[in-house]
Order: sequence, then structure tokens, then C-alpha cells
Amino acid sequence: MQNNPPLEIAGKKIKNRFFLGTGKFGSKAEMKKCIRESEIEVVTVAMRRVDADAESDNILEFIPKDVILMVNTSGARNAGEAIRIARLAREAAGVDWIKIEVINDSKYLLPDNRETAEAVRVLAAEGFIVFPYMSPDLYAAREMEDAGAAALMPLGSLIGSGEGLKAKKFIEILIRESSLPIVVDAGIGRPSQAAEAMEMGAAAVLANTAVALADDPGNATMAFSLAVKAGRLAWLGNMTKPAKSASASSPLTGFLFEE
Amino acid sequence: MKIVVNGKEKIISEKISSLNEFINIILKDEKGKIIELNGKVIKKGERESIYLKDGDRIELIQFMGGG
Repeated sequence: MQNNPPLEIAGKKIKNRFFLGTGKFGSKAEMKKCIRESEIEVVTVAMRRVDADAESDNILEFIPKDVILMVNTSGARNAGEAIRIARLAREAAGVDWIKIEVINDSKYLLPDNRETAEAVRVLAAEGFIVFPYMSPDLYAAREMEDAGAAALMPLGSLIGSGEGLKAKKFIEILIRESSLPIVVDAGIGRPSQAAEAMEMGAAAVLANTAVALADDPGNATMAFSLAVKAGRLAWLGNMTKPAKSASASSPLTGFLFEE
Repeated sequence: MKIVVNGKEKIISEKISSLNEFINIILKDEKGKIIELNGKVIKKGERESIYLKDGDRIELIQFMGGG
């Protein structure tokens, strides 16, 4: 029997700590299959202007109703635009869970922590459950926490890079110093990287590109889910730390041929 | 009259009066689309009684895949 309590955020109990982004999938049906098969409980979606002539399916119809929908504010370049997207998401679909993503830089797609904190302050006061996507900076983390964030989403490495936990040291500091759940987001390209984040105490991991662009997204989603769970159990198990010298795992007494 | 749709100016006939009529003309497939008029989300049932005026700003928005 595993002793692995769910992640609790805003009254929701989340057992599967692998959050899935829904971008870049070959088809919406495939995305739905990934969500179902791996029992994904939290997904992110974006909002965009649409071409008047476009004929396209409504992505929300492919997301099971029992899955928590988190709307990201991608495309926002400042706090004001992020706030507007969040309010629109609430008005149009009753969504309160918002990943605040404010990006001004098109080369590195790094989040603007200052604008993000401002959006957190306004939206948390309006009752939104806010998840700031941020660079892992301790001062910014404290500011987001004071502003009413529900969790922090520091980047592992650059969005879509698959480089893993390049920001590991700084994420570890947030895990130690913040009382909020830490959801590692961006740059996670391999299940082993997701497991590593969980082993060091992250509360959850979000990935999108690595899964959606895999040859077999179903298997990739399952691999991430299992890795995140394994990492979580490892953290809860509080395993021994690496040592410089050897330590025998079999008794060092009573050898058979000793004289 | 001149209205702005998704940031682009459009000249439309004065004969098109209600928002509903305009949406029916410009949107081929309405499924899953969100319509915002001057910063306010408009529900389908409200459209018949809303009349367009010069300078109105319409946004056509949709939920999409994203990380």
C-alpha cells in the first residue's frame, strides 16, 4: 500500500501529478486518448483570436469533464493582457484556474516575473486560482506568494527545448523556501528529467512538447505519468543521499570461508 | 459603417444591423467560438438585441491547444 497523498490545490485533490499541455498534438482525438489512458487530471489550454473562415473543432469537447482545465495566458506581453485573458476565460467557460504566462522576449520566451507578479495580485484578489509561470528567482517567488499565488511554476529550462532541469539549483531553493507547491514547467523533455524534479521535492511537473511531438504520444504520456509518480514516491521514501565511499549492502560478518 | 474585427478594420453595410446577423455572415462555423464586443463576452441569446454601431470592436476568440 502506497502512502502517497494527493496534491491539494484550492480544494481539488490531484492524484496524477503529471500535468499535460495540449498544444502541438497531431490530432485532438489523440490528445484525448492520452488524457484518458494516463488518467491525466490537469491540462492546460490557450486562447487565441480565430480566423473568421476557420472551421475547427472546439478543443474543450475533447477534454473530459472531470479533468481540471487550466487556461494559460500565452500571448500576453504584460500584466494587463494576462488579466484580460483570464477574465475572458472565466466569462466564456467558467474557468478559474489560470497559468499566468507573460512573455516579452521572442528569442528565449523567458517569463517577465515583474509583470507576472502584478497579474497574480489582481487575479488572486478576483478569486482566480493562479499559477505563475516564472523564472526561478527567490525574491520573485516570495512576491508571487504574497500576491496570492496557489502554486509556483518555475521553468526547468527554455520552453520547448527539452533540456531538462537546467535551473535545478534555483528550483531547489524555491522548493525549500516556499510554502507553495512547486510545479516544474517548461523544457522537460524526458520522463527521467520529470522524475528528477519530483525526486527533489517538486509537487508536480507539466510537459507538452515532449509528449505531443513524440512518435507515440500515448506511450510518452504514460511514461511521464509513471516517472512523475516514481519520483514522488522516491521523495516520500526519503532515500539515502549519494556518498563518496562504498557501503556494503550485504553483512560484512560471517563470511563462509573465513578462518 | 466601420467596425474593427480582430484588430482589422472592416467596412460593413448599414443594412446589417444586429450583431447576430453580422456573426452569421462572417463566421462559417460558430462551434466553440467566443464573441466579444467592446471587451464584453456576448452570449448567443443576447445577439439579436444588440445593434452594431460605427467604431464597434469585435473579437472572435477560441480555446486552443497550448502548454
